[in-house]
Amino acid sequence: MKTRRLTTSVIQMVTLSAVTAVLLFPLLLTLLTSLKPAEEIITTAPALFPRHWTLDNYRTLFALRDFPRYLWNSLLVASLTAAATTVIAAMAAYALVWMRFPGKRAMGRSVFFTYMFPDILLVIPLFMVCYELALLDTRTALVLTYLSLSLPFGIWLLKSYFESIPVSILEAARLDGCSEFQCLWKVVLPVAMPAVAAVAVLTFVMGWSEYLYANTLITTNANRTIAIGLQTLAGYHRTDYGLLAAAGIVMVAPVVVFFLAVQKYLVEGLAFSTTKRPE
Amino acid sequence: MDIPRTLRRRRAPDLANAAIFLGPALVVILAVTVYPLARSITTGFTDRVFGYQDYSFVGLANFTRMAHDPLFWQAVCNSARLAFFNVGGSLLLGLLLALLLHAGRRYRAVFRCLLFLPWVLPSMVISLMFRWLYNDMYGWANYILLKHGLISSPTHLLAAGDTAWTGILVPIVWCYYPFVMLVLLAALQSINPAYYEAAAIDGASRWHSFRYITMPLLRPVIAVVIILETIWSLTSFDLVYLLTGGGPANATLTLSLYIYKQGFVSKWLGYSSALATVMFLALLALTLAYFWVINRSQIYED
Amino acid sequence: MAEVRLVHVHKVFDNGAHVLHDITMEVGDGEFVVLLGPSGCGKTTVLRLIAGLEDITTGEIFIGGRRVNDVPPKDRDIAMVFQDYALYPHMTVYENIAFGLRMRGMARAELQRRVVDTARVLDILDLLQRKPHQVSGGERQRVALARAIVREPKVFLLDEPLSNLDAKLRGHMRAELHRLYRSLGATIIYVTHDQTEAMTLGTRIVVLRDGVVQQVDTPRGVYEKPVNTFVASFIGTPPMNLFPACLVQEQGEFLLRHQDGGLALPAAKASAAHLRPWLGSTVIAGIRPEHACLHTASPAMGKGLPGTVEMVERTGAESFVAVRTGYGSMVVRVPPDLPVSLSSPVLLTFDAEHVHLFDAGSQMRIL
Repeated sequence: MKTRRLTTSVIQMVTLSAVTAVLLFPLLLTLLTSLKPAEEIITTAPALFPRHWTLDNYRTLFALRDFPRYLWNSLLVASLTAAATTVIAAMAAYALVWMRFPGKRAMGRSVFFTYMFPDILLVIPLFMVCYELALLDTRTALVLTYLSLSLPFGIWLLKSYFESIPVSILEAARLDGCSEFQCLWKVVLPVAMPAVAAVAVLTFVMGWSEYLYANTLITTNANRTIAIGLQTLAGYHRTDYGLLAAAGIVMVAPVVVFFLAVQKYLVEGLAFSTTKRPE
Repeated sequence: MDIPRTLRRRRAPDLANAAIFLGPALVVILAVTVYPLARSITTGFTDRVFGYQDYSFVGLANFTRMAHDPLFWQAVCNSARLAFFNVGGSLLLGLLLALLLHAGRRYRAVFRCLLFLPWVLPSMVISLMFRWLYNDMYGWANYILLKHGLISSPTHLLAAGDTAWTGILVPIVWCYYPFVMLVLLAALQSINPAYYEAAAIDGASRWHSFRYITMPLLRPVIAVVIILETIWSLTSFDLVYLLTGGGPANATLTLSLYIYKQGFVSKWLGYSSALATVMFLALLALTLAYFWVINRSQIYED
Repeated sequence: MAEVRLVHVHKVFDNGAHVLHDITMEVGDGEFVVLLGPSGCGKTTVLRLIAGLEDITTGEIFIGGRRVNDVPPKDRDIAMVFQDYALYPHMTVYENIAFGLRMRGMARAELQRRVVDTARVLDILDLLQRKPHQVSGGERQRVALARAIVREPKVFLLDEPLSNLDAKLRGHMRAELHRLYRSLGATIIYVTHDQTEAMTLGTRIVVLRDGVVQQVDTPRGVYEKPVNTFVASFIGTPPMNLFPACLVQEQGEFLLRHQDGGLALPAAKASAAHLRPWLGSTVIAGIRPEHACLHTASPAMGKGLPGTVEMVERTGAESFVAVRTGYGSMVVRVPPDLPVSLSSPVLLTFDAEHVHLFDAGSQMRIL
């Protein structure tokens, strides 16, 4: 019995590892390619691991004048989007869960409705509006338009989490003399920290990675984010795949780190909030 | 003993507070979602062209044009095709992985985390990776296919119509399966193990347990997942655009890409917006279906 | 400390549910009043109205003579202990207790002194640096109490505070609460569905049913003189036996006639003037299990209600026997060593001094 259980466990482990290896192969390959010298990349008989490990690709990358600028633009846009989304969504979710006002249910549902509007539906009118307001080619335009993608999601995720907080805690806080702002700031946000962190991280990642809006609303090199920067690099250095792989890894790195930091909650919150019955 | 309605004092709603707390969100959503959407719908009834100030309302002209536009119908078919294969592929892969993860208790968290990774990767990077994999000279796809004699000479997967579909479906399924896996795994873990024990006592085999306990309990979750994945497939833009741009010869042109091309390449804002309106209606139907499914099912309730 | 007064209070929820009907009650200064009733009777709603967590629909509430209808919860000078304790999970025990004082801007030294004093009273001094999830259920209960006590409010509101504890701990905390009440001399309003808690803790009990006050009395009064059949059957374990009987007068004596005989009511209790309206009609008679007597069958049995033994429940110190009679099943308390066998014929007699009579229509107490 015991040995049988052990064999099952080993088989499961091996299967899972094999499947994971196959599925993560593209990512792994990119990482390893970024560490190869050019002559090992441009070959018809590629090897998985570099024979000569090198960081040259990264050195070349950061020596490019524009690359740090792309990173900075992305960092700026993503952080601002994350901060704005978290604050606005937390307040809205608080009101939707714990305040009394007419039309509350309808409002909660329409938030989810707007969550369903994809970027491709909004990109043309948003482009028109930004054009009219002379916001084209500004990072402000990116932050504002990213809110259309992140805010409904943020409100929805926080709302689902807030609903799991017993209302008695909030009532206790009110009896203890908290105003609504103090309830949110001193009680709800600390209790909902995992959800708040997940929203902030996800929004950051979204802002960091977004392609469609960044591609249409930004027109000059100075304001390009990393996603568009990468495309630009791919245009100039079409064949220098080591360099492109390095740039890809640099772009992916913060995403992966952040994801790992909040994955536990994110994974639960995501599964929970999208399949449960909305209030 | 009833109190007259007029005598009842309803609790004063927290209107002032609600306005302060909800105000920012409402303003933002109205400004960057609702208003643009309304603009898009109204523009769909005009002949507006980007770069020209003058335009006039043309009624349903854009929609009649659409009915006779072979490219529109091709795009619709391609979108449906993409949705069908993506939903099917990611559902199958996601379900298998969820079952595998559910069975392998020990390292579940680690593998779940690793296998979920593709979902968070930026589309730009995914397209770079796969473009390199597909490279006709130095890519691994060619290398492996050649080595095993599956192709006779180096080919670029994305360059021919039929292989291009495989070429875009693989990365798309690759970044959509994690969501399915995650949700189904959560659903599997929420099934009360007592059901399986009861079934085992009743003499059910593992297959029977799966067939008569697991599947029925997963069904509502699967329904939700199918709807969400369909929505996301229909609206997905980045990967197709970055990998094939709708080519070769419009073979992979989806509705999303057609909207984009009409708007930003041909500059026909009016026609492009009309196309977007059609997509909006389809999404509306799917969203209503989502609400319907989620409201009548007993997901996550014991 | 202060008294609490509810005057003609109604509560209708937004969904139209009329949950409280014309509640008028007064809780005197320093009283321990228990709101008792089955779940869904509105007792928690009464508490939440007093706290200000819900708005009243019509009527008035006074705390310490002040009308508080429009006073927000934090300004009512009350403290509440919630059923689930509602401790702030991200704060330590110390911070939990201090939070209310801190929000009211109390100076640090004074605050610390009061928190520590309160913690000492409740014997949780060594838990102060822990988080709520690191302490046991009973300790959490004490923290919740400490959080209420430290504020030194006029009125304490306790919502089923013991319902989440296991039976043994519940008994212990019940004694503890009683001790606290003695030492604080506070006004306490306590909600429970557990009659043992109500009987042991309350100076007075308010019995609620479907949002209507049934009876307000001391524990003894509620037990000995229930105003109607609901209170009679709700209070007491096992509940009072209720059965219909015909009230007649024979030779100047009031008799409860049943098909197998009759039961004479004691002359001292039954006055003719009082019982006359019910003469000749059916009333509902009630007798508690401890006031009935079980006789094992012998042919020469006198007056009594015959029946057969249906079930015997031995609890150790005493036994309860369910007897099937012509009036349905009746429960009798018997000494633990009394030999009774199932299905054997027995005879029941009642202690006439302790018979309760209720009107068959209104269910209200006659005698």
